[in-house]
Amino acid sequence: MELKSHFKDFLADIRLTPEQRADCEEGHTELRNRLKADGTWGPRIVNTFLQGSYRRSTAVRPLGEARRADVDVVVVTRLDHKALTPRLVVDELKPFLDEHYSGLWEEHARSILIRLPGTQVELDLVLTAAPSETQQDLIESAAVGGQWTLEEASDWRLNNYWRPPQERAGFARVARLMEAAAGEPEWQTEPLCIPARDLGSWVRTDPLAQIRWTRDKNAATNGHFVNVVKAVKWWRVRHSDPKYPKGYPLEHLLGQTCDDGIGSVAQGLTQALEAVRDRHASKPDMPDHGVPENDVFARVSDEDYAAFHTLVREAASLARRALNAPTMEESARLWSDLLGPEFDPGEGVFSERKSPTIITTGRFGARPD
Amino acid sequence: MPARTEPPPALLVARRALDALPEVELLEEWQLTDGGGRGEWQLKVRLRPSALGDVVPVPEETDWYVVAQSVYPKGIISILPATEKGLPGFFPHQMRELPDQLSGVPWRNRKVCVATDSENNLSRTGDEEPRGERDRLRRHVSRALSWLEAASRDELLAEGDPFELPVFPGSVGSRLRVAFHEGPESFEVWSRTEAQAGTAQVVRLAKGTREYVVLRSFSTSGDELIVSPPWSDAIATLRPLQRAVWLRLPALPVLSPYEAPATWGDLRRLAAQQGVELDAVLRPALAAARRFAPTLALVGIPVPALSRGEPERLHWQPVVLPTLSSNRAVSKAKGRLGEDGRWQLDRHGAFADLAPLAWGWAENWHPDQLGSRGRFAALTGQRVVVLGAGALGSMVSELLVRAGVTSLAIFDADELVAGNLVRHTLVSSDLGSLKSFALRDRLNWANPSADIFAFSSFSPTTAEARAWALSADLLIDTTGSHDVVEAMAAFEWPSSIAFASVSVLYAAEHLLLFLAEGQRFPLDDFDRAVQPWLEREREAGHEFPQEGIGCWHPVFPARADHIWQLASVAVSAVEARFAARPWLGDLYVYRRGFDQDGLPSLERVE
Repeated sequence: MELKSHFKDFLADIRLTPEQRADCEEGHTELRNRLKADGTWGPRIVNTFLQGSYRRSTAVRPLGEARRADVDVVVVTRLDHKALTPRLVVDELKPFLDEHYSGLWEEHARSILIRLPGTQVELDLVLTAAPSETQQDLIESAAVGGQWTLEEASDWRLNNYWRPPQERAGFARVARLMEAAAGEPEWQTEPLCIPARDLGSWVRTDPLAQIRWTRDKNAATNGHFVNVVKAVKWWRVRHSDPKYPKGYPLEHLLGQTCDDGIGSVAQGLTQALEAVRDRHASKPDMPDHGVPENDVFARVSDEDYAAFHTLVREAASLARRALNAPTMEESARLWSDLLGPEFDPGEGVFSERKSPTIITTGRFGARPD
Repeated sequence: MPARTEPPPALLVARRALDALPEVELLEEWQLTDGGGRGEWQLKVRLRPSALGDVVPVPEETDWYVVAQSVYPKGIISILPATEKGLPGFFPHQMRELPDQLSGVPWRNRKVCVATDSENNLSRTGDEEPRGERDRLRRHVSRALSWLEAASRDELLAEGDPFELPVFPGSVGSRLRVAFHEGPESFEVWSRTEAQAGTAQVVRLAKGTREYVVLRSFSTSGDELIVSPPWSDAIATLRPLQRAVWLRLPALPVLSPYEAPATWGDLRRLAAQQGVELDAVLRPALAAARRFAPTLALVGIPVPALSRGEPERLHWQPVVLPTLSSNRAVSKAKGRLGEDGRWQLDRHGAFADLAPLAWGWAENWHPDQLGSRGRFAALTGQRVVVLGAGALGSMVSELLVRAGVTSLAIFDADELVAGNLVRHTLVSSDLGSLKSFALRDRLNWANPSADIFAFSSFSPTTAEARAWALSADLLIDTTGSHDVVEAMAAFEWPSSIAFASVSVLYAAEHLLLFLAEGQRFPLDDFDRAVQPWLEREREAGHEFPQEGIGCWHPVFPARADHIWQLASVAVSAVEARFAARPWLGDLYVYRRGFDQDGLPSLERVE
């Protein structure tokens, strides 16, 4: 059974908590303000914006005290990628990082991880080289900056008229703006160059294309796609061996296998797992949105993918049994087996035996109100 | 922006349980109702019952609001039709409260009676309503689906179910309670009567948060008495409050599927469908009642006991009238109005087509309606004499009258004193009155159909008392006095009657119940049976307490809980054995004692 309410409550339980969201937003705002105020970097910044699963509403909360939620932040600079090497750019960021985030930051192959103390949030900072002139307007626009997520702003359009929900304070002008946003065509996106220390050069990425693709896929799946992704990510949290694929590659794979027009998360989840099982027995090539020469699965090994595929076979079979179960009780138990106790398993036969029902009626007297 | 409040976890669990019902689609999540002031939550659902019939038109899909309280799974659950795309019309087992549409809520005030226990009432079918958070809401919604299906098949009032009237709008919350007395016997009389309308005498019984009035008698417009129900003296002697107008219809006036009329125009049309011209019937009665300034109209409707059965009694549904044009009504143009003019005024005022019917709440106080919580089978309708109105006699009489004995005569010569209050049913406002008279008055109030007589002697001395005693079916002696028993033995009845001698021994530790039958009380048999017990009492040498300081008069000790316990046993025994007569002069003895845990015990002893 589809158990729509069960899934709704499950999804509410696995998304980032309001505190975690507030920490993400505060952390990002603080970083952006600090960069803008910095003597060296202030003039070099075009804009910063959130990308990644947080933005696309495909993020799940960290499970357990020790785990953390990553929030991807893109810092678009005016630095020419032809003129400067990746090494140099990062080295120039070090003084800023040591000033504001001393002892909290770590250099990774393609990003800088900043831990925010007192929270479960980490900012994953990615620097990009200067975009083209036309892209500058786009990147500075409200449609790109701002802290909205896809689920909050499913009417998002990448043009100059669009305003995020937080900025629609009820002026008549806003209504006209939003009408224009809906009607006017969107900007084209162009890939941005980010330094890849492991390759020793720049690689291209198009986060806005990814966001837009996800928006369209979510619309085509009646809003269920982002929830299918969250559910599968949650399943991976408890089935985390092999470590990869996870994160964006996993999301991208689901994007390619989830059918359009699905009527529920349950249906999409089952169908997507079965599609991975049936159509991708060996590691597929996954061209990235906006940058087709990038294979999203490039860093996933064949061995890891084989182990992952085995996991998917079991999961798909369990999901199908859960979807086809004739009673709510049985279905809930099976979904919970697949997804964890955050999915309400209901009162099974076992728990009922432990606590006999207490009869509360049958005595008579004055009836209290 | 208001702070976001989350529904309590129990409501989320309840909502998940609805996933099991494929005929239910969730349209909106739990929200606080009406701004949240009432601590209630509403859930919008669409119901698509799978097995709809086609006898009564019911839409395939209807929208509903399920309203639960924050204390769910405790508290009230209501299922109400949405204002938009909800179920149109009124059906059986559906409440109807005014106003139909409250401002600020998206549903109509037409709650469906789906669960027998939605407001913690007793379950009619004994079917246990689940009380867990997971199951209770689901059960209600599931029953709503069944209700819809039954509605579509016209099975909500199935043959053999107790008959149910439609809800007359405004009646439930009405301050006015109108009590009448109608049964199969009076229905006989009404069937032989031609009058379709007339006036009724109304008396006020009580006025507190509600006003209780009683319809004391019905007359034709020409003031001929039609029926005067056997109300107790308490009601019969109340000062008349007003005269109401009444009119009768041949059948229950309802708009399909089960909607009571809300305006005089509705009623006019429904009456016309039954072949009755309402105005022609009402007008003469109104003319006759007008000088009394009636504020009440009564619509008489024949009703059956069971659904789809034959009508067996009349039901009077009251309508509160606004002020009618009086005899002194004057119009500027025409001066003093004649009856024509007054009628025209009222026809276009109080009785205009669009004028709403201000329905009051009706209650049939016929004993077979009032007694459903507990009524004697054998003793109902018997004429009973009770000798002695002391503690024992007062409780015996009380038990008899409440459970259905309406013809009772009490004999006692004593006055109520303060020392009696510890175990008597009378109260301190009765001090100084004769016990028999005060009990008569009290019992006439306890049972609206009671016809209690009181005599100020311990045995019949006056002609009236003798006549009453001679007509008795059962005589119960509670005096414990041998003089009284001897007097009883000297009295001869025309035919055999039943005798019950009820007495208690010291400290009400024993109950002696002697049941016999005959034209005379069998004194010798009685003495023989009782002697051994009296000897034992004498040998025991009991001590008797004094009445109070300075008084030498000994009193008989026994506490209320002890006496009343034995009085109950005696009455239960008489009722139980009444059908197994003739009584052969046997003595039954009960002993009140304590068991090994020091708790009360009661047993029959030989």
